[in-house]
Amino acid sequence: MKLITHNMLTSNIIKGVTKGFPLIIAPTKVEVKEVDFNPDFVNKMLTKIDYPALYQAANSVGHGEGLPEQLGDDVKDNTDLLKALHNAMLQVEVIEGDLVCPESGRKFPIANGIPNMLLLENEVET
Amino acid sequence: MAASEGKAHVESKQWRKKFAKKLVKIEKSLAEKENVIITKEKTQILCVQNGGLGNGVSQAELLPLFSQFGNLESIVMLPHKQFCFACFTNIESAAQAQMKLNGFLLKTGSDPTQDVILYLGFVEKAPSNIAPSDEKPAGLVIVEEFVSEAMEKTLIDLMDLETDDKYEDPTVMKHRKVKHFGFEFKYSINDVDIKDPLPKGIPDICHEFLQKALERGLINHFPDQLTINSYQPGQGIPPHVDTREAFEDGIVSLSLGSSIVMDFSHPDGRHVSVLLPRRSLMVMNGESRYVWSHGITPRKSDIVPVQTSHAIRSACDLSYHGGSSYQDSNTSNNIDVSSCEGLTLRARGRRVSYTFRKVVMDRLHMCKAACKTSGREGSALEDATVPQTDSEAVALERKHVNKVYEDIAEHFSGTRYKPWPKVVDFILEQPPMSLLADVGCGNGKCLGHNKTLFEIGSDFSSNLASICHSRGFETCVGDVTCLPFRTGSFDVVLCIAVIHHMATKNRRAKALSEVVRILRKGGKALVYVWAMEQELHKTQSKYIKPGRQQKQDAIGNEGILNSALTFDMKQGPSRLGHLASCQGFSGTQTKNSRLDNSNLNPGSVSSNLNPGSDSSNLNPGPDSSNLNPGSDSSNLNPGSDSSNLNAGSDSSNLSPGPDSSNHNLESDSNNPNCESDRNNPDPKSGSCDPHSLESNFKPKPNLFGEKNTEKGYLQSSSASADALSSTTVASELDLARQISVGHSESDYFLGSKSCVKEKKTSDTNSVSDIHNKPSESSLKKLSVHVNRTQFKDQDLLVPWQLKGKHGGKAKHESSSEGMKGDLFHRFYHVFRQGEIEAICKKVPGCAVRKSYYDQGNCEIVQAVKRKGQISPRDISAQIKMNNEVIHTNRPSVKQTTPQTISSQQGGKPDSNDQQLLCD
Repeated sequence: MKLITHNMLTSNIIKGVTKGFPLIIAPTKVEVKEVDFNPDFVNKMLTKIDYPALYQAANSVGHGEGLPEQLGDDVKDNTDLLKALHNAMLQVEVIEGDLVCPESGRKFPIANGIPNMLLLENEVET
Repeated sequence: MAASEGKAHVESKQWRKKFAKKLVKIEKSLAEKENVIITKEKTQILCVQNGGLGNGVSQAELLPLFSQFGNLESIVMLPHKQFCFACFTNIESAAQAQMKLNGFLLKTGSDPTQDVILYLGFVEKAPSNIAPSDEKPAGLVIVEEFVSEAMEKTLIDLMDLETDDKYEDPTVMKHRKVKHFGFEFKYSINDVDIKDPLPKGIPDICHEFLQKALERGLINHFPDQLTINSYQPGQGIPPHVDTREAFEDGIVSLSLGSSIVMDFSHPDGRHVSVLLPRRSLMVMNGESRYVWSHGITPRKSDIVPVQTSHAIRSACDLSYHGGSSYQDSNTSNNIDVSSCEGLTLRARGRRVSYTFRKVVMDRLHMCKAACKTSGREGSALEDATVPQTDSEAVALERKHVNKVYEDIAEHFSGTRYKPWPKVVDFILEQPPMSLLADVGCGNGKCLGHNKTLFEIGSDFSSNLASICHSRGFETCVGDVTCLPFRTGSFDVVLCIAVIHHMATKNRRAKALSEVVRILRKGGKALVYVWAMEQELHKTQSKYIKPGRQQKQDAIGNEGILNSALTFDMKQGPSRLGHLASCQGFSGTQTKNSRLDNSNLNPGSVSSNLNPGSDSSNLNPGPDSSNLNPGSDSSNLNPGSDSSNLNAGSDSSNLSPGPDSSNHNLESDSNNPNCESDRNNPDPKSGSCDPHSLESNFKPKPNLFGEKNTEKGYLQSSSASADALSSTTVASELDLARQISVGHSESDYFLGSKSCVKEKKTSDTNSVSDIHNKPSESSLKKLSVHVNRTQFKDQDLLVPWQLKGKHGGKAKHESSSEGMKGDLFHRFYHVFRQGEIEAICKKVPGCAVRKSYYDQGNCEIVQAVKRKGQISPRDISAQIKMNNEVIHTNRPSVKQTTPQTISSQQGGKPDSNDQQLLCD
């Protein structure tokens, strides 16, 4: 699971959970897999993701290096920063571990890079 | 060189214009159907359309032609394909050849439309020559030289001479002559009447060699039924499986007079062509008898491996040591054609086949076995009723959707490697750097086509999710009714063939609203579901096999219900269907994707390499007219690939007159099916070209736009006529269709209907509420669909037969047990026209943008979360789509019809060959 994917995930499907985002990452195995760097892509993705969540996630998996707590306006042409963002969003992958609902503490296992977000029937709002 | 003729053409302005158009069309067709991408850049490799084995061109004809332009490395010919690849060692030679030979008239036909004109384009790569496969279906045995030449002559004479008695008078079928001994095989019921034996049993002359076969253990029973078929060159028999309940295992066929290539197809998509040499005995046991369908493609010559001819083979051995040595030789003039080719063409002669079978006499016993099996199998199904509550629905889905996919994931994935073209088109048209979620991504076949997107797949099945992830896609395990994604986070959502697995209306609505929820405003979703109506304008989708339907009915009438289960493992679907619901249910089907094997590379050419999957032979004449069930059909092999791009033949087969009028009759009601075919975004493409196949199918434009369209749905839904008549109506079209559409994997998609949903926006697209009432009678048992028949219920179970280790081996011991474990049932809710649109209407922020039928029975909804109205342009686009739809559907009829029919006739009825697998 790349952190950009994590950025889209929420546990608010659980009954009673309202936001469920961002999910806390409790990794046991993290890998960095190289992905071609495309600054335009990174810039574009920044418009689609929740940056604070990415920042938090990257730090929680130990790959927050080079990321500011908040993004300024100068990102667009700051190649170093874009590369750091690129790394955080696309190269860092959580292979094993858990995603934890920030509200209920419910754990969603990540196995082999795949988070399992299924709920039990009684956890679902009906 | 014959270029003179070509030149003459070229000088005509008109011709040149036509030619350019033709090229565009060919390019498109190659890309869509064959995955052959013509590049603008010059390369060393030329794709030569109309220079393929599939349209009777041999390598020998092409070698001298192409080699004059320089270093020709090889000519790669693929079985049944109407194109080949000329591979040069340098670009200049290829460019030269392309310049000089594009439009080259290779040979003239009986009339100008039959001329073979070569069309050339550059491609990046060519597949390697296919090594002739030694593979045979499991359980198939061929004994060469089984009878002497003298015996051969005697047996052929027997067919020809004894015609004096009623029973021996050969029945002349459309495509072959048939004669029965022992029992008459009744094509009307696809069975013999065990109480009505023929006066003459198996001819004495056969006893000796049959005894021999028995002693050698080739067969376990002494046959008591003989069917003699006589095939002239050009005749064939559609793919079929001999009626499972009628005959024991071990079906024996003696080939006399001429060798022939028999095509075997496995329900999982494998195709194997097997050469049956003259005087050889073929025995089909186990899997080859019960699971694989077999048939003979009607054509006048066969493509056979070179090694079957010793003379050629030795030449081959001499000169062919891997491609490398050959590569260096640049003068192809003196190259023995066969030397670099694994395949060659061999003309057929008249062939007489003696097919011996052992009739199953103990039908009662079989009935018991069937019941027993059904009891067990049925245990899984007995509680399967149409769910009344969401929690019942969840329970049903867990068992009949989620668990099934989990269990069949690997096999399922292996048959699903290629996304539907329209889905890909949709994906490709999304703006770069969009964020896409594919909910219900399965093995990820829809992912990775547009590299500019960032895509995340989600599937309920962790096994499928693993497969998807292993292909390099971001994947999570999730439930479409509660998607673990943030609201408004995706630009694009795909939900392909998922929502029909939700067992209540409420859950279907929930799934749809989830899809819309995760879309950002202005985002778009594409939703496919299966459509109930497998018929448009009385034209059935490709999925339906009319013959099957009829057969089904026939069986029902005959009360053969019981016998069913014996073979269910092989044929699971239909049999179980009967047991499960005694009323004529019929329906489900599946999208059988007889895709070629488990190649997970969508772009790969391998899909083209399936021998047997295409039959290039189109016999328009008599065949096409023969649509009566029970009668033989010929050319329409299901697997037939007909992407015949030969200009001539296209137009020749189209009968614009009838076709178009046919269309007009229904054109207004067509729209519903309006398929926004993204394949054909350009209104000009296809439809307007008189020479294009599509053109004839153009319905009247619907000036009323979408609304009307929806209305159309209603109308057409009510118009589902019986299979037979519809078939008939469409027959001519079908033929044409077959040509243009070809048989790529798309045949196996069920007709689908689609609509594009837009989030937020006008209600102009609203659908009448009539459709809003899915039929859900209380405690109604779920019926089990019979593959390739029309749906009779909206809620049903669709069988999936896992190809398995059990294969068909256990067959004879207890037919009922062998493959039992391999049969799964998936729940489907097939959508009535307008139904999905009605659901969309209730989802906040969701507006249907387009809805259309795709080839098959899916209903597609494209949702866009955005404001925006449909511009006139869109409307016309939709109209176009309508045309497309029609097209798409036509072919199906054609192909399906004949096959089935013929199978009934074939003496080896009950084909239904393919088990359909669906998503």
